[in-house]
Amino acid sequence: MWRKDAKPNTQSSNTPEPVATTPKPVQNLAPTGAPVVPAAAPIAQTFGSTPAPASYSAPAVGAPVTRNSASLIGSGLKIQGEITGDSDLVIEGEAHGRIRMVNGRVTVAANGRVNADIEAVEITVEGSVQGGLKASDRVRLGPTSQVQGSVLTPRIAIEDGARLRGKVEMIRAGEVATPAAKVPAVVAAPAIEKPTTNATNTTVAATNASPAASTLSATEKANAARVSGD
Amino acid sequence: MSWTAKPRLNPIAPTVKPTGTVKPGPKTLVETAGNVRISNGLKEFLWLLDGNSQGRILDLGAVFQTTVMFFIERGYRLSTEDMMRSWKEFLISEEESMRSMKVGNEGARVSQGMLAGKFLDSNLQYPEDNFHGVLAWDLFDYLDAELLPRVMERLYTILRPGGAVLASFHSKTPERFNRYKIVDGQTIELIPSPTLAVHSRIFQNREILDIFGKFRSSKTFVGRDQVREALFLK
Repeated sequence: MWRKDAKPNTQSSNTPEPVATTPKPVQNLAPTGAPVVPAAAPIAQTFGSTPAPASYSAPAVGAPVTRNSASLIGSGLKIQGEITGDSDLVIEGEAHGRIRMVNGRVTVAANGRVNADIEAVEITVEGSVQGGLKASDRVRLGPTSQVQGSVLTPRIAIEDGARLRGKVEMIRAGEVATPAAKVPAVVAAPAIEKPTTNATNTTVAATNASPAASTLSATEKANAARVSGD
Repeated sequence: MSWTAKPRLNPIAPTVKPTGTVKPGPKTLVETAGNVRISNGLKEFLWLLDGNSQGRILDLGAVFQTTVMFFIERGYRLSTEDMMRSWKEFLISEEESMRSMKVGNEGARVSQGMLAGKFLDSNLQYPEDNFHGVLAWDLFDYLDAELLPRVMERLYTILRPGGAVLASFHSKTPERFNRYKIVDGQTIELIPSPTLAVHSRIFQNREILDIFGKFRSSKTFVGRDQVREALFLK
């Protein structure tokens, strides 16, 4: 006969089976005229297959979620419009328009593509951004990042390999301003030491011409070239 | 801005020193480190920029944290544009579009000059008289003959009167392609990196003067590694 203890009780109602579904994150996106973001897994689980950005500190498992729980634009998802809110935002898909998370962090993951101005407390870029970055605390450009646009931030970290095509300006911490509206606070320029030519490893001359002709006018340049004979 | 008009706080050290009193001596730590070099061109470049608080600098090389912070901390506004990489990517995309072209479509073929023009339609796009200084280490040696004069023309346009361009030129074919980052006011670090373009040519001094023909004065520094740093003023 069948052993009673050998057969697992698959239909037991007393011991609930562990559910393999992922919990839904808090939806903090407020897209205007944009498609609704479908439910996605919390960031700590979503990044399970892909490495999370180094600067992004996922909340510890079991830790109470207080103010910010990251919202996610997952890969394969494309959002067009304005995204505003108070939470953190992680972009693995595509976002076009404008992103404004005044109290949160925005992370553009390695596969993320953003064609929008981003304004946040902290901005981390591992993917591609076409648009300005304005951070009231810091901007971090990872080694795979590609940014085309201006960067306005009090602190910036650029890792080797990052690509930035645009302007970098510094502002005071906590301040997020348009470049045209406010003058960026800059550190007082230290006095630059007067250049004293190191005679041991350099030759100061107009392209190896006359040693005396270190400063040349246009005509002098031509003469110097003639003298140098090359 | 010129070398003669701007007062120097200290006289330049004499280039000829009495023999026997000064030994070649041990190199500094910075000099002995493998991938760094003293850059008198940079020192002179910074001296020329000194006084232009919130001056605008354009770096045409790869972006590095130290370089960005170096200028930002001194109050400058820095723009970066990795021109070599942009040029390479542009050529790759053009090549791909050529490959996808129908056979016999001669009308769509483009010359090198047209390619250069097309590249500059979307690169080096800045207002006129915008920058106080431009950094172009290891760049002009690698640009092709059609692109180089157009780039020089564009640089001249976007540079303010009195602005300076710091460029470097090899005296022999370089063993590898390097990117540069600023360590301090007179030291740069060479970062070996994958070759983005074939070294195009070695410029003679006269040719360097020619390609900077519109600029009004120049200074050249020859390093121990035979790399010539040229500083030109608009």
